[in-house]
Amino acid sequence: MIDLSFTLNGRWVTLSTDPLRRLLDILREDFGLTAAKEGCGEGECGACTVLLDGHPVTACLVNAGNLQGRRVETVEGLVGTLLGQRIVAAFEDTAAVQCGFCFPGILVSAYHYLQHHPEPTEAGVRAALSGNLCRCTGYEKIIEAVLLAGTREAE
Amino acid sequence: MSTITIPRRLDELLELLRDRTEPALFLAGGTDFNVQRKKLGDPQRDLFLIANLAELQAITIESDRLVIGSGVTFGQFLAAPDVRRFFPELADSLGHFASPAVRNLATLGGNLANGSPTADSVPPFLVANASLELRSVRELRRVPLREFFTGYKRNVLRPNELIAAVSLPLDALSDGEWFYRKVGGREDLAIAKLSIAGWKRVETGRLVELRVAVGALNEYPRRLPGFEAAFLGREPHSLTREEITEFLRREITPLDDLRSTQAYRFAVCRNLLYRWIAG
Repeated sequence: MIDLSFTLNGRWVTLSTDPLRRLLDILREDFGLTAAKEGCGEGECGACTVLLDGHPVTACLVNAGNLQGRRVETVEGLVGTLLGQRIVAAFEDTAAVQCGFCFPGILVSAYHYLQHHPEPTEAGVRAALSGNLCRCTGYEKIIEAVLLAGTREAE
Repeated sequence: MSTITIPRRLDELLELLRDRTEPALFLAGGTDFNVQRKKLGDPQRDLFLIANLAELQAITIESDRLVIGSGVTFGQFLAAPDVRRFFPELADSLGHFASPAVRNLATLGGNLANGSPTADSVPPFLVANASLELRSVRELRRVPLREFFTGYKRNVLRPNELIAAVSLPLDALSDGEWFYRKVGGREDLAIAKLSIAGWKRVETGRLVELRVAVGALNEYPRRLPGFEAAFLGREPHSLTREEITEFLRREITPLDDLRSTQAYRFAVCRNLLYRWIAG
């Protein structure tokens, strides 16, 4: 067991846990932040994507022992931001969500992309979402929604 | 009973490794470790968690070499200004490695230490004449990357060492033509069926330098020294498919496995090399 402190959606948290425990499980079980989903547990589907020190990572591959002092942001925090709200609205307006399982991970990847690319392009969106798999939609509306969110932010 | 240690500094880690006789396991990004743990359970080796060792995360220029810390992630590597300046070919070739999220965790050192025969970073770094800095408490050993692997998932790392950095001669990829192709089931998130990195220089219509490294075609990714030497001095268009086939056959041992077949791997490797060198 180790004692661990890190910031989670803007506030410091501490816990005692197994150093190999996955961040995904810590989020879902210890903090009730269940937006991040386990789609594969191997980093290949992106359903568990969160931001670590501002960069998208798959939480199923992050171990507690490597988290000390780092900054974690999840969907639950990002939807409270202006950009997060714009992304949610764009997905609603384009009806780009079907079952919703992939959507939290997609929102995080899209958030990061739009944060760094005020003038989004389709190629850029496709690259940013290349690690997020969706089994329902065929991706076209998702890409349209992310571009729409980016366009609205520029207004 | 295996241990888990989280060193706060590199010198502390090296001191802990000093008297080891069994190799330890280093956990940085965890992009291989956690997949293997999910499939095979907890490893029965002493584990050192090193994702937060700042000393392993620098990218610097030291005299005539670019030195990249083993803890640098693929994302950091691809975005680094000195990489884009001196080795844009490497940045372009590795731009679709795994996925953005995995690139933000996976480290160059981890890709090397895990030692998969399909490791994507190795063929491009082999062609760029990379060396590794292997550090122990007493010594810094420099080993050319082409001498690092000795067999399937085996390498020359000693139990008291870790990979500290990858270094590249700044002029490794100046004045010539780069080639890279990774063949996989899809563009991203794909383990290679085969991969090829290459470098050629042609002067007055003749081949004066050729470097070829392949992945997923041997027990570990390798340069092909016999192949590289076989065609020097020749006009590229004069090379025949049969010659390319013969020299390739001597230095690759593709297999049938869940991702591909021996026949496909050989044919595609041969075709890509033929088209690039002679076409």
